[in-house]
Amino acid sequence: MEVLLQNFANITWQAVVMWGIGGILIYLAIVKEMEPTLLLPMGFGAILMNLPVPEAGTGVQAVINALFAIGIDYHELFPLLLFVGIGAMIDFGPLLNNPKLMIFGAAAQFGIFFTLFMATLFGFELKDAASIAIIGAADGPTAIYVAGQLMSNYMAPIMVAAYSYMALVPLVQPPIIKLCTTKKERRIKMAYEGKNVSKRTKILFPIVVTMIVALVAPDAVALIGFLMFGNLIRECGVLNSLSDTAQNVLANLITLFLGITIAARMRAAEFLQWQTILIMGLGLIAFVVDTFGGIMIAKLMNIFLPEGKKINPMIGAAGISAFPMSARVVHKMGLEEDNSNFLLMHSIGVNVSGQIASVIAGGLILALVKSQLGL
Amino acid sequence: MNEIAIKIGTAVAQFFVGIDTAALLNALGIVGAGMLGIFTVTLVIIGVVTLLNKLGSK
Repeated sequence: MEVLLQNFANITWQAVVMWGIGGILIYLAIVKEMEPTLLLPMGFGAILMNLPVPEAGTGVQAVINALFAIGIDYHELFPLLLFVGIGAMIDFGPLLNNPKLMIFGAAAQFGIFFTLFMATLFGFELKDAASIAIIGAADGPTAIYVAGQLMSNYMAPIMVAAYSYMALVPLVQPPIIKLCTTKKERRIKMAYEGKNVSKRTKILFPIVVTMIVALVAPDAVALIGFLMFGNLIRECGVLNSLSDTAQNVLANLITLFLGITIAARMRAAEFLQWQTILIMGLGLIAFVVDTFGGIMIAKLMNIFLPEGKKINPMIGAAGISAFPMSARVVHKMGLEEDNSNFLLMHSIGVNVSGQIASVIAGGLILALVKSQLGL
Repeated sequence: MNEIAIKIGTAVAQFFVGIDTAALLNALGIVGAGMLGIFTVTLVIIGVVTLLNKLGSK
């Protein structure tokens, strides 16, 4: 009997708090359907990592640690493989149709850099400030990649914040959009000229973008390269079976392991710090300022555009990379203001440009921070 | 009540005194270079895609 009960002595209050956090993540995933593919494995992983064991880091925890070593520590393999699947899912057609939309994707990365400044103000080391800032990329794999490359001490809270806020985009963005725009602006209609983008352009686009990014931000090549590799498989027209596998089997398989792998960094000792709350707050700031940046650049452009050619500034908000939630939010808000105002194609174009821009921003952050730290 | 106000005031003062201005200036440099970099890359990509579209339509 004593043998059966002896492990109870290893339960700590910190572990119980972590079980509670794990339970909340599972609740949000199942009941609220917030990013269930990641929050559910992370929640269960958090419980697994904080179970009382006679010797820490043994048993199931050793297995999760091994997954972390292979999937994240070893050249950030999981997020990169996930990017192949994401690349295969994305249709860059609306962006290629109107490449100027990329400006909004670039502007909506301002939240990343602003948050880097704010995190530094709050006393975080540069490598951690940069890793926290990348929550604003609104892109889980990019956040994992950058935080992993910079060996941040706050990997788990960064992941939780990144995925939670991505799931909360439909709640976070609308009030910011309403605050930054007038009713008249939200009612601006934009004509969509569905030009026929040639197959050659669609095939050359992933190759050319990879090469341009490689020249300017070499640290982003792994991310953009895998993203564009997936897209090339999709667009080439001769690898439909592989494209289908990348979009479904590969993406699902990696996602399945990614969540539980991240939980390796959700041990009570690492997670239960006052910095976790601060990181959650800074992550929210990043999303808010991203949204603000995208909207403001659209408003700025409208000053110079003639009547009839004005841009609905709401589409700027879709420049954050949370794909496709952000595009849907903007489209829905457009319809709420005027039920004949269809912004979906514009907002999707901006949204996919945000996907590219967030990866470039991640690469630039890596390059700039590494050069500062002499890495 | 006064004690709480004094404690909050002290915490705020300590926060501002503890700010590492060199680190902040450093971060500002990264903000500037980062935003400049992202707009530069974006403009190059826009130019190339426009060119690709023109070549594709011929």
